[in-house]
Amino acid sequence: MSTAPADLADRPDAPFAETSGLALDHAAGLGGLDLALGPGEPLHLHGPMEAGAAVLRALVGLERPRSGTVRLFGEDPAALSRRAAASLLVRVGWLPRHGALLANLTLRENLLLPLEFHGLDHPRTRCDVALARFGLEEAPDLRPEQVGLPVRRRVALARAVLLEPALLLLDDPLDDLDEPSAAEMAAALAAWAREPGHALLVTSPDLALAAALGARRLSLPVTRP
Amino acid sequence: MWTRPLALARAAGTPVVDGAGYAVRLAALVGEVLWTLLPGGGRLRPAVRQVFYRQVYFTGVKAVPFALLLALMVALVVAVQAPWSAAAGGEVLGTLLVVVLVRELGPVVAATIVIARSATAMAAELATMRVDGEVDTLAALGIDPFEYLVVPRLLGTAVSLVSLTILFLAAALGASALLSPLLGGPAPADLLAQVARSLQPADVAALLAKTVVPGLVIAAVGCLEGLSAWRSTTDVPPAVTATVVRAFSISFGWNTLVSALLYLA
Repeated sequence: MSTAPADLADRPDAPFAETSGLALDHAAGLGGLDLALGPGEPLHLHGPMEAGAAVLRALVGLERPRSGTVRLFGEDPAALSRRAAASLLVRVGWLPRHGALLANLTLRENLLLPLEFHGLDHPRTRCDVALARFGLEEAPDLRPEQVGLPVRRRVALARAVLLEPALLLLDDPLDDLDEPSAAEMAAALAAWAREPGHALLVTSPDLALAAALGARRLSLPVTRP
Repeated sequence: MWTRPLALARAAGTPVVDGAGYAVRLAALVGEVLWTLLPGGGRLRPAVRQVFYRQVYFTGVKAVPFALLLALMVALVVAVQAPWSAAAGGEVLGTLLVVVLVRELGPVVAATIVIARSATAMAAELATMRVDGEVDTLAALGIDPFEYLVVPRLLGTAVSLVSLTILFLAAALGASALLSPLLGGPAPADLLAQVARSLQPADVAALLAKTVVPGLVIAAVGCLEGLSAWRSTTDVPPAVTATVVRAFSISFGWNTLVSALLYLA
């Protein structure tokens, strides 16, 4: 078992995310997924929600493949020690389907947590900048259950990009959002994806999302609908 | 012919093996918490320290009124023995307070408060976080759930249990001393002097053993059961029930073992 991730500079040519023959349980019979994602290329995984979510979970080491391999910045996150996996995952922004904000923290505290945990300088200033950037200045001290879904999604997206990751993994980011909120979110994601050195992997059954993000499309090889 | 004895052996052996396996998991969890603290010389990251303070506040500080109420009730029960102890002569009441309160009842009452108020809440909270995907999200953000969720809960609960036990004992002994002369017993200063003379260094060591270890273990049970919940809210109530049953069994069993060793020594 590896204990520490190699530095990104050691593997300049390694794709940010890569799978080879990936097969997963609980994923609509997903089998044989090959993908390689480098900087500057948004990729849209199209297929059943459960399968796409499982692929993202496998990429961050939360789900063990039934067969095949997974590499994140050249490393298998599931094979790393807890500490090494944590330092690898700092380079990844993660937006699960329902945001999964911590219910016992306010919106501001949800943003402060990754900054403070990883010991970044000036966490409060960075947090305020993120709140302003995502239009969240009005309700930072409310808890997630006190605000609507669009606001929770914006906070979750702000949290995902807060540590300035190189790779963003998004699970159906526009699901359940009304049209203006979805358009606003898609524009924010497209702007982020256009920045140099960024890679974006999004999974959703919504084909319009790929067009909105200007993303390459890859259909998930599932055996069950 | 061997079917029945084998079935009996299996019926008796399975819980023993399961229990031993669970004890090993708990010991591993507690050991890993202590191991996690080593690299930083016991220092916690500021974000983890916040969770530790919250745990101490919820488990320790907010339980103070309840602990004081129970201490007063226990003091009343002990103080009504004053006439009997006065008739028996000597330092019976002081010895009774040390044997009953300090050695046995104090740690048990404090552990009961912590299990009922905090271990259950911990199991329910972690189970809900697990089911809602919050634990996975922490991991995906590079925030080690073990360091952020488990370490401060174990440490906070241990600190709280030690503190609550000391507070409970101080309040119960103080109230007993104040009530004693009203019920025909010795004066407060005399009673407290009796208690001081009855206390032995081994009592202090036993008291620490009966609070630090159960504090860590009670929280470890809550964390283990809570984080064992999987994909549905129906996993939450069984996690809470298992926490209550296991935490009581283990902490009371541990206290019995320490008492037995104390008396044997």
